[in-house]
Amino acid sequence: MTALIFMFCCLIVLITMFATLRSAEKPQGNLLLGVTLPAGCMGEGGVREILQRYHRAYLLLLGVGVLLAPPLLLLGRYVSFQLLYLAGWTAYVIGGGMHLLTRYFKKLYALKRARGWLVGEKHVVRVDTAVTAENRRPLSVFWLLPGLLFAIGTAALALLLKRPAALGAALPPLICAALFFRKERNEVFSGESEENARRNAGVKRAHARCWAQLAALSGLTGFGALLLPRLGLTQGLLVLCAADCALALWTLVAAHSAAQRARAGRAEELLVDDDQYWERGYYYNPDDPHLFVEKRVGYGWTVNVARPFGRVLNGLIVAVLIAVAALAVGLMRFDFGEITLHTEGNTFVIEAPVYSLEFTKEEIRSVEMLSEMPRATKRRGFNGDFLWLGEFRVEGYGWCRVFVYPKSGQVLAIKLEDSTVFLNGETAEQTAEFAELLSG
Amino acid sequence: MIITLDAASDAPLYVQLCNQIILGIGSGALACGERLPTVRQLAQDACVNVMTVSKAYQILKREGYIEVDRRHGARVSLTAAHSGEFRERTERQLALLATESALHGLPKEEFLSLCERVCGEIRIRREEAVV
Repeated sequence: MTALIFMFCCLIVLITMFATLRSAEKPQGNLLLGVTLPAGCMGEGGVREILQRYHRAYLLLLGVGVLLAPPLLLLGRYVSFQLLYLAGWTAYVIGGGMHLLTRYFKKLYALKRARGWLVGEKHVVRVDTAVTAENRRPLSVFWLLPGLLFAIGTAALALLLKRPAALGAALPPLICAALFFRKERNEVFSGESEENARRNAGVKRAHARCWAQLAALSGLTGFGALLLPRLGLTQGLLVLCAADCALALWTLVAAHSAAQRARAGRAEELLVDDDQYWERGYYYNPDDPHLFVEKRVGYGWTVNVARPFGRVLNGLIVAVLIAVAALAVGLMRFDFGEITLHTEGNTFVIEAPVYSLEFTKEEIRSVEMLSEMPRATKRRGFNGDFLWLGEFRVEGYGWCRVFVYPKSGQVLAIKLEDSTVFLNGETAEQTAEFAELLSG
Repeated sequence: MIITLDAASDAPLYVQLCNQIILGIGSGALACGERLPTVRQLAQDACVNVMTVSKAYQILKREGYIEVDRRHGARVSLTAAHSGEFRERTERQLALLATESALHGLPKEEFLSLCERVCGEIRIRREEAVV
C-alpha cells in the first residue's frame, strides 16, 4: 500500500513537471521559455534550435524519471529506503526540470541580447492611476465559505478526538484564504484605462477563484484525513487524497488559462521588458514589494527571492528535504527492528523498536490464537505495511497494545487484567514459540 | 492616466512622479477632483518605496496641485496660485532652457514656436471629474 502511495506521488510529480516544461516551449503572448521576445522573432533559426534542444532535453529527463520510478516497488519491504529513494527521485525530476528551464532561459536570453531583440522598454514601470485607485474585491468572500467551514470542522474534530497536533490540518485552507485577500499588482496592458481595468479584474477574478477552490479542496482533505480513518475508511482517504491532488492541479491550470484569456485584448499593447528580474532562474526584484508573483513558466506562483521572507520560504524547501531524510533514517529502526518476547523471572517482556511492554504471569487472563489480525486503527505508534506497533483501536477489542507483523497470519490475543495485547512473530513458527512461552 | 517611471533615468523617482502628475493635469489626462491612488496603492503597483510616493505627494500638495487624504488617497485640486516666488522660479528655469537651446544651435524663432506649441497642448480640465 505504501509503495502504491509513493508511486502515485511519482505520477503527480511527473505529470506536473511535464505540464510545466511543455508550457515553456509554447509561446504565451510574447513569452517563450520565460523570455520576452518580439512576436516576429519567435520563428528565427537560433530560437528554433534552442527550442529543439530544450524539447529533447526535457523528454530525456522525464524519460529517465519514468524508468527510475518502478524500482521503488522493489523496496516495498523497507519504508525508510522507499522514502529516501522517493526524496532523491523527486529532487532529480524537479531539480533537473528547474535546472533545464534556467539553462535554456539563459541561452535564449543571451541570443536575445546578442540580436538586440528588445520588447518594449527596459527598467520601466507603468501605473494606470484610475485602475490602481480602484479597490474593489474581485470576488465575493462567500466563495471562501466551504474552505472556512472545513477548516472549522477540522479544528473541532481535532479537539474532539483530543489530537491537538491534528489542528495543523486546518492550516492549509486558512493559508489559501489569506492568499485570497492578497492585493495583486495591477498591470498596464494599454493606454486605455477601461481596457486595463477590465483585463486586471479578469486576472484577479481568476486568481481569487483559484485560491477559494484550493481552500475548499485542502479543507476537505484535512477534514477527511481526520474523519475517514475513524470510520475505518482508510482506503477512502487515499481515494480522497488522489482526487484532491488531481482537482488541485486542474484548478491551477484552469486559473492560469483564465488569467491568460483575461490578459488578451484588442487595444494596442504597452510592453515592458523585465527579463532582467528573471535572469537568475528565479524572480529577483528588490523594487517589487510583492512576495508572490505569477510564474512565467508553468502554473501557479513563485516567490520574489529579493524579499527576506521569500528567501525563508525557499530555504524551507531545503528544510523539507532534510526533514524527509531525517524521517527516513528514523524509520529504519522499524524496518530492521524485530519483535521479541522473553521472560525475566515471573515477568514477560515484549520488546520492539521504540515500544515495549512488561506484564506478569498473574496478569494474564487468557491467550487466544487468532487466524489473522482483526481490523485496527492506529491511535499512537507505527503502522507500516509489514509492522504494527503501538496503541490501536482493534475491532471487537477496543484500545489495545499491538506488536504485530500484520501479513504473518496468526496472531496471539493476550487478555490482561485491564487491557488486551496483540502479538505475533515474523513467521508462524515464531508465533507458535511465543504461544508456548506464554502458556508455559 | 498612465504614469511611466524609468528606474534607469538620472532623475529621482519622486521627481519623475511629480512631473508626470503635473503633466497629466496639464494635458487633461487628470481632471480637477479626480482621484489618485493612495500612497500605499501607488507604491505597490509602481514597485517603489512608500516614502518615494509620500515625498512626491507632499511636494505636489505643497505646490497646490493635489490634496491628500490618508484613507481615501489624493485628489487633483488646483489651488496653486500665481505667486512672485513661482514667477521667479519659472524665469530661472526658462533662462536655463533658452540658453541651452541657443548653445545647441536652436534658433530663437524655433524655440518660441516650440514654446507656443507646448502651451497650446495644455488642456487643464478645471471642472470636477465625475468619479
